Amino acid sequence: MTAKFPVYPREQVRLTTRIGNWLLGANAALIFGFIYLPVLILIVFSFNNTRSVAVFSGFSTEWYGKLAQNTDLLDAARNSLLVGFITTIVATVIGTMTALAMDRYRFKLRTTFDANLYLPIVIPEIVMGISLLLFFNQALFPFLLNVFGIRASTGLHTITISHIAFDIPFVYVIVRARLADFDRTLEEAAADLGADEWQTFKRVTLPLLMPGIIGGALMAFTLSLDDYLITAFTKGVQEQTMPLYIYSLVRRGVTPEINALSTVLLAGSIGLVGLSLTAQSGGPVYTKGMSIGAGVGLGLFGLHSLPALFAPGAFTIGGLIVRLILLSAFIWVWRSYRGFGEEFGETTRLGRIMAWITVAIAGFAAYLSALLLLS
Amino acid sequence: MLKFFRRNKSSQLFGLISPGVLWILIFFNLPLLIMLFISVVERGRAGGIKIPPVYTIENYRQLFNACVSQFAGPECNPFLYLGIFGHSVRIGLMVTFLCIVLGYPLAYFMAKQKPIWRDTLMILVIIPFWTNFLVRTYALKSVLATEGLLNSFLMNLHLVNQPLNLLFNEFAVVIGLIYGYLPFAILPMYTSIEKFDHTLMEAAADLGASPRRAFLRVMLPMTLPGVVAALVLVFVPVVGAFITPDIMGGGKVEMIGTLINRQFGVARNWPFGSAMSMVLMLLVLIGVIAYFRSGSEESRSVL
Repeated sequence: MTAKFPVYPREQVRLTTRIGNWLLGANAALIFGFIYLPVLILIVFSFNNTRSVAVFSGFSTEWYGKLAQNTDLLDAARNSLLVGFITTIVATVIGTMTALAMDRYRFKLRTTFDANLYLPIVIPEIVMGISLLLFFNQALFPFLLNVFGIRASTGLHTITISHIAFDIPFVYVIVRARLADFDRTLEEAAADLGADEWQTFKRVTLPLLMPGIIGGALMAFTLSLDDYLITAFTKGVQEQTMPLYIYSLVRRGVTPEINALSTVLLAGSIGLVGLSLTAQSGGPVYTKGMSIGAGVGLGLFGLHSLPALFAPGAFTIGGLIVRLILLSAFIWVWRSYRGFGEEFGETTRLGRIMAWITVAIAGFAAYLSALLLLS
Repeated sequence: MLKFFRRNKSSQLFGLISPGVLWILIFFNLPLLIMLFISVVERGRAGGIKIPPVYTIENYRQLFNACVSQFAGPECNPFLYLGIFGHSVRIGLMVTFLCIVLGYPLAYFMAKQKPIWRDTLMILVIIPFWTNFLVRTYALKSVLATEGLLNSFLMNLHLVNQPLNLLFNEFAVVIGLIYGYLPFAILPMYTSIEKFDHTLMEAAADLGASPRRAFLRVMLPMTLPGVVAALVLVFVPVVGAFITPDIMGGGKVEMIGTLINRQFGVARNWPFGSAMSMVLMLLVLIGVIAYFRSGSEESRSVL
């Protein structure tokens, strides 16, 4: 029977697989090198002490120092953060509500609307940017002028509206994925124990959905901070955002200053995405850690900037209210710390280290953005 | 108020879904409709559209025959725009092909590793997704620039006497697009290969198939959904790309994205730009719908 089949000599098989494995490994090394080397080189040359991006002559942080003094850049960063925060809050609330409605109810046109929600993710970004440009300039503004007599123009508000429009679908997809794994019997159990619908939602549904919601929110924030094309079509004459500013520099040439700026952005978006992924797949210890970190960061900024408010001539009521809100973050931390502590006790050692890292990243991010936005 | 919501199911649904529906309808669907409208009217003298609107299909005809335009010179090339569309599709196919050819073996390599290595490599593939696209493109540009690292390296080795022009040509755009979209190809193919039952290959070998035959007849057909997903996920964004051809091509390489962008910049021909956007969108949607109809699981792996 066996004679019917070709029998390969053992040596030959081993040789071909060995060469094959070697080729596979080489291919993998080449591809990862191709993907990561340019980024590593970019980071290395951001610390160069001359203007060259080819010859490394010595370590210096002068380019980072220049960034911190560049007022155009700081304005752009402030605008980006402002747009990002508003976009994230609105898109997360609306996206989560939509996901809940689509998951829990059956109604006419449900599948049509579901497909429609995927459209902004798949159609080319340039098409969406152009349609929004035309919509604002040819439809909405003339409409506002003729019907209400309001003279409107593009600016940060149109950028924000557009970012919300493309972020809602992403939040929706992420929260919907979380809802798909949701165990509905938990809600029934809560109802059996006498909770009404609102209590069930607040105490059972929302906490279980939280990882998805936080993940979606951080994703929305990253996308908003990174977007160039749609922003470029919906921007006003004056205000810049970070990607617009970088684009104008990148088109002009290659300098270590752009390298430094890029490195800062890389660190920021990798940190944010790391948080997003841990929120989605890690346990509650991480999400609680994040909120504690953010609370500490905001509170520290409030404390740290309080004396400046009482400097001669600098006092404003609005400033005081903002500082008080920031300081109240400490109360929030104090309240949620117990929950964190309980979760913390049940985690492995690696998990604890990771949890502290998330606390640190969230705290640093919150402190930095408060610093940029409020000073 | 709250009591009313608690009792009434349909008002609950209405309250939950109306913000999302309204926002998407007003700020996504309506703008697309406006774009459709602008694409079928004549352009105004100083940009914008003619008021009152005059309906015409000239913008679409112009795409197929550039000489139809009233602004065309005497020595116009009728296939100017069609050529750019064809060129974009060709670049798209080339980039997609290269991404799949490079990505499939990598995905296979990843799937073969021990779980801990597999997860590490997976994270390495995912990171580029979330890093700023602009920054990544700039990183590649700074390496390939005339005064960049690659040129100075080659010069120091005396392989070349003067710096090579690696930027601002089609080669640079293709490299830039592969650089940008290779992770999109790896992820769905990896999902497919990881699910593939490798004992089937042993079974094929036991039944006398040579390794090559086993790959072509067993593994490739069974991991094809991943390859198709990679094809769609790379081809769709590449065809409509703007940032890469603009930065890596430096205005010397024309693709659909840069052509459309020019209609809203210097050319000030909004109706024609809208018509091209409509065609681009339809091109992409046909591909995506055909793909989702096939209903493969890999389609969701990237989201």
